[in-house]
Amino acid sequence: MAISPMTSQLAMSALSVTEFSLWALIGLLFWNRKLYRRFPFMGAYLGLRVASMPMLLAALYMSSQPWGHAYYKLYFYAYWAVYLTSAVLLLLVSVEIFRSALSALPGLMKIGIVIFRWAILVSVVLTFSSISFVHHGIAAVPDVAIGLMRSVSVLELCLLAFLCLSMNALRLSIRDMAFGIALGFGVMSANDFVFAALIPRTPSMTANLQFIYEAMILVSLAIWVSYCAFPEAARKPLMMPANSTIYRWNEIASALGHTGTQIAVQQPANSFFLTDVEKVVEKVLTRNLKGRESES
Amino acid sequence: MKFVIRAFALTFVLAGAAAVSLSSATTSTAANHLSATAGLPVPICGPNAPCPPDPWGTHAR
Repeated sequence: MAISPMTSQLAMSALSVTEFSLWALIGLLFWNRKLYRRFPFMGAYLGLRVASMPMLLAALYMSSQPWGHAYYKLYFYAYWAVYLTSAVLLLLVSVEIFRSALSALPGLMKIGIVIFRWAILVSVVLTFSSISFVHHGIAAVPDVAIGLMRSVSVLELCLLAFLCLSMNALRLSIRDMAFGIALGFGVMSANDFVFAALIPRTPSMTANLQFIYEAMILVSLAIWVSYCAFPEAARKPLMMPANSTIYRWNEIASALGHTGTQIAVQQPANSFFLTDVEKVVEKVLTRNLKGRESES
Repeated sequence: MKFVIRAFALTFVLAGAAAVSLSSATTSTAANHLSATAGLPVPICGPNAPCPPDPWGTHAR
């Protein structure tokens, strides 16, 4: 049975409205459960997501009016400003998730955060070095924003892979909020990449793919709703054998991060042997001179 | 349950990683759903930015 374009458009609009409602619901649950204290950047991201949509829709509506061509400029700048802000916030959310996942092992967390920041920096630098700047000036902003967001998406996938593989070692519960957030972002990122890869190859399937794409977004939002709605498993004190590898690594990392008392590190001598002999002779001569003076 | 969720998550990681390599040349005009602007039309051309040639015929402007 063929679906008319009108019905398909209506269904798509319904899915979009459902999606926005879910975003608002997640924001509300996040706020009610005071999760913004543990994940402040995630809270900011949800706030941006919920607040920016009506504003951008209003700017878009005005720009489509016969009298509102000037509003297109506003829409252009607002759109890319929100896009860039989202990308930066998502980078910070990744650090938040990483920190929360390793919170039971403070030594490893401290050293892990340093390495993770370096990984972010390298990823961003590599992304910028591979961007082909088609435009110049302000028009290059979309190139930069899309490149940065792509880098963030890859990072989200890597973070999810890390959590999945090291979950047992970190004693991270499947019901932990940090894992829930990473899972939602991972599903969204994978969905984006798969959609972007399939669309140009199967133009005849675009309408169907868009439905699958939107459905997967709703799945990732449903994951977040369930994580926000149901109580998190209480974190038990970490119990592990004293000879376990991860415990030892944590001890080593803690020792590395300790400032403790300061010690003087002996610098290599930069004087010659003869200079030292000279100094000794000078001291002896001065002492002898003082001895003679006291005798006379 | 834990195994199922981990397998589900890893499936997405693998699918995403495979798609990254395939989509590298085509994502330049694709919007990303992680952005708060998802669902809105992408303003590729704007002030001082002429519209690029459109091979797929998807740009409204």
